[in-house]
Amino acid sequence: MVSDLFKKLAASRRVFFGLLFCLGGCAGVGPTVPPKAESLRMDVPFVSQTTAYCGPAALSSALQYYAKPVSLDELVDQVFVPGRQGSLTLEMTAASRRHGLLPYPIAPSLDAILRELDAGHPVLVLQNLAFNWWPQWHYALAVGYTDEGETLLLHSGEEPYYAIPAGTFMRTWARADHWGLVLTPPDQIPETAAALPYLNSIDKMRQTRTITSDQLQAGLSQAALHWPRSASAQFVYANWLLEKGEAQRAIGYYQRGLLLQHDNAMALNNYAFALLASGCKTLAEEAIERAVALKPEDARFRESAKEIAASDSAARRCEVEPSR
Amino acid sequence: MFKRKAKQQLALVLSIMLAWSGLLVSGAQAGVISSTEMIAEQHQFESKQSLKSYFDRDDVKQQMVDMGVSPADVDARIDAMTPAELAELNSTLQDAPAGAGLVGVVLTIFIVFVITDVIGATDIFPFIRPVN
Repeated sequence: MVSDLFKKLAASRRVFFGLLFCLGGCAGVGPTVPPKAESLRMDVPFVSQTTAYCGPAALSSALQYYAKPVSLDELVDQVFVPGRQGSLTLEMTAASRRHGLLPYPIAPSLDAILRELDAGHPVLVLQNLAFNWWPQWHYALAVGYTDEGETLLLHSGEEPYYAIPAGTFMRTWARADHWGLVLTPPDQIPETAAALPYLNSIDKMRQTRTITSDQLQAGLSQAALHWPRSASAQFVYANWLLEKGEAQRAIGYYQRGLLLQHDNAMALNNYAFALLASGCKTLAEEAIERAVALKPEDARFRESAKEIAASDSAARRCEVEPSR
Repeated sequence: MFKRKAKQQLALVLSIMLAWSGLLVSGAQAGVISSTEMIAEQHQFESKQSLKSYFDRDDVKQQMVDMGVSPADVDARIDAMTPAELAELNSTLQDAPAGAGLVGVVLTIFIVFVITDVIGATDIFPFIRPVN
């Protein structure tokens, strides 16, 4: 029965080609928001792939674009896994950090890629060129577009500025779970970045000590300015200032953040210590009491309250305006 | 007669494979999880991981050396990873996607991929431009 049906189906040319047509996608796939120009061809040095080194090659191109000349061989030693005959995404991320670029996970859309390209940021992507059941994983670097974004230009394998229709690209990219990184110097906020993922990415560089303190300062202060409505951006910058011993300046950012999010107990806790460091014990006690009231079950805040209560009273005069 | 039957069978195989590839293209997506939730979870996860990472580190190193990575390079390679990333690498080193590009395509399925390349479902051969 079933085989009869398939025979009929296969014999019918019209059905067969109809099937082809549908699967191929009938119209060209394009961005929902047109990019800035008709076409863009970024001036990114091309590094050709040898054997299975597409990961190191794509990364080397990106690093050279940012004037960090790291050779293909060097990167092979840093990301290639001989036993897997390829490079893993986690290692590509770590290697970007190692060479001082911020790996920011890109949003899974064509629009996001085009916006980053327009902003002058190449995008590293993982594609599955074949099928889910026979995956052929491949890294490429998006370096431009033509036809108002209906075609992408990739440094891919042995082909510089390889033109791929956006529809095909999106399919190969979707099969790799849209894995992709915008690579920028850490103090340059990616065009499509959102506050929390950016703070998270930069914090991972801090954790792994792959960022200088000047870059961290620049990145976090820019984030606080760039996302004035993000309480987290204000708090994270305030924490950094407090850690550096600039309690007075930190207080300003805590207050800004608390105006946006007044019930953040952790921020109130840190704010209290910033106040204490500025000689404002009374205000510090008020702040930590608010934190304890918000999270009475959290022992950390009760400990903080004790610590603040037991501290020496102000060595210098408190000159902080209480918030609100 | 035989020729016709072979042709039919080829067409059958091709159409099944094509239909399959089309279905696979539309990936399933779960409900959207907000970044706030994700970062919060990440932080909880990482604090639990900090103790475990000490062990993860040795595991990962051993696994990587087993996979042919030079012992001299291993430390520097994992230094730029957070504890959560180390744990993830430890559990996925064997089967996470390893980007390599294309190495060797079997001839029998060559034709299928030429066609899927032409219709733009795949992009295996750079010299083939999709029709649309």
